[in-house]
Amino acid sequence: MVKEKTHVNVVIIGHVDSGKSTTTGHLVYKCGGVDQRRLEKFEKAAAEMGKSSFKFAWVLDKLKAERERGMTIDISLLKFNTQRYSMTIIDAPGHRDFIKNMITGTSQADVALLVVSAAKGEYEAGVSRSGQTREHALLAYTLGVKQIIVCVNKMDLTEPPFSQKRFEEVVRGVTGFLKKIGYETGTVPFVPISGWTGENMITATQKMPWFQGWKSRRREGNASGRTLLEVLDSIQPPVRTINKPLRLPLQDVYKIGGVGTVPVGKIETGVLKPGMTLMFSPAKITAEVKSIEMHHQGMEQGLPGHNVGFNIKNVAVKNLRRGDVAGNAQQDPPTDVSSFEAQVIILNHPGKVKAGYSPVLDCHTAHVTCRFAELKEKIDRRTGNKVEDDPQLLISGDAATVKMIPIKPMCVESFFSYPSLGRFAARDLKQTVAVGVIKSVVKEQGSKLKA
Amino acid sequence: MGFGDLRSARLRLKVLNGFLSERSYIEGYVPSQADVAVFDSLSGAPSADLVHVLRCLPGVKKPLGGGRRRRHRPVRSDEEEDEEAERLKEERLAQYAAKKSKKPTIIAKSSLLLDVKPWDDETDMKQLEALVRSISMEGLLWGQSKLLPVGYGIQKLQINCVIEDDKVGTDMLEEQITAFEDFVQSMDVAAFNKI
Repeated sequence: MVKEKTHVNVVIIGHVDSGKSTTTGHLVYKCGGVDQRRLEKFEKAAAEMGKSSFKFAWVLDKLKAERERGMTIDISLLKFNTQRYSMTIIDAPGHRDFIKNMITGTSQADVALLVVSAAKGEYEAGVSRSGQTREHALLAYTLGVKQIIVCVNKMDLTEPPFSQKRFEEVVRGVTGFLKKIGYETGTVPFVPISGWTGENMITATQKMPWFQGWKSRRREGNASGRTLLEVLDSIQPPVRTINKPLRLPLQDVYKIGGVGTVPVGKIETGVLKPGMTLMFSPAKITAEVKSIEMHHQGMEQGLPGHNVGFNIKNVAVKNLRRGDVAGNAQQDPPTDVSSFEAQVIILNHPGKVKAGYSPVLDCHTAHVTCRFAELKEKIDRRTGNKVEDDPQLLISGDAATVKMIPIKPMCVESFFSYPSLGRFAARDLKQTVAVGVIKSVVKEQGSKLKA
Repeated sequence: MGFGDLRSARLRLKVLNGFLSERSYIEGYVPSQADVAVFDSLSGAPSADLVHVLRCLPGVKKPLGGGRRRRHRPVRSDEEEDEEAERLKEERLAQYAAKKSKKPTIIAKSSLLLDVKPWDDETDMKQLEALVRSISMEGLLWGQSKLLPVGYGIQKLQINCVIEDDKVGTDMLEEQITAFEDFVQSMDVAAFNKI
């Protein structure tokens, strides 16, 4: 049996004109993301129309048109393979609801790929204050996506084409702003590419002889190479969380005739096995797992990343709901929290945020109103250093440590212990007004502070 | 603000030095005509003990004679470089804006893949799908769908849709889909991509 490749989610960020969709398309098209039959059909059509020299562009256009009509589910998921990994691309849209989805969604990004255009004027516009690039990169960093790759795109459109000077100018500028966000820029590989003509995408180009290759200095070992595909293949695999205690936030709870109660959710950490006694929080219910199924197949164990259904004994459907978290009753069972301390960044709030502000928090599958009980300190987003004690108010762009109190029982964890249960989006006025990561929680029973 | 004819008396220079010990400019916080006027009235280089006068000189963009000029050149050429870079940046941005305005505005769209979950294994999934597809709003286009097995006979509807970013939000969709409460337990976004 062929060993299954490790799965990695890559979020692609960049300005509208950075050419990120073309770059994405190139990877997907060249690395096995489009099924062979459809590809052959398109290529044949392109040849018939005398477009074989623009085949790539033409095929990309067709694929985009297909996606625009929503016709095929398979190409709405952008997948491709490197030697070591099976990758899914999240091509970050500018949509206002995307940020919330990036935080609570089912596919968490492991790596960010920042695409910057080197073309005249486009680089300048892309990194300007109003550009989305900074916001997305900042969010990726805040939410724990610590691996970032930079593609300096459209090298064929610099003046003169494939200009080393322009590449270096862009690298200097981007390094500056990544450093401000908090990235260790020595670890960040920069690759000059053209997503359109394919330079340095899959194979190394001859057109930029000055390019000595990209480098990444990491604690885990250095990496270097010439192409984007090599960079993607060299990333650190996502950390396996199999050895941690079980955390499984419930998406749905079903009542199945002849079976009983079946909760369904994605295993974030740990292992789920039949016979295990589970604790549900904040429901405060324990139950034994009778069996587990995924895609209608029975399983001996469920692992992190698996979306599973499981059958439990002696619990009525009405006692459990979406937002409850299941864990092993014998190993650090989940509990609800009376309060927690979070580092938040105010994003799109039109006014001022003061103590008492109560937006709805989306954290894993839970959806609970929480009060900003105490604005403890305002901090420098980059360094995490304190800049002001007990601020009176916060405005868009501010970062702060805030004590928050859920208005009804809720189970969350510190980001450090259980990342996906420790990040949230705060929603108000149909917008994401803030994002945050939880630093510590105060558990309901006893007031033991858990780091 | 004047300090008399500064050439006439070393004393007056000392006054100026004292005045500048707490300030960077003669008036306000940026160089102004007042600085130029005062420093114009100086003759030659102030002596080395008048540290505050010396300190303030580079801040006033006014050539002040041979010796000092050389000393301040690095500062000045940096400024020129910055100005040059700034000018270049502005120019490129302007060209970008001009090019952009000629391009037809592309309507930003996203592709969503939604998971719609029923209550149990007996929910009529055909009916559920028909209800979901009955939702119509400007900027929303339903695409292909399929039923995926979850477990224990439960299936979920996975449906693709294309939305115009400015017109349709995921909250709106979730609200309308979960409003079919006899059929739908919950909705999740399985994939969210730019088109």
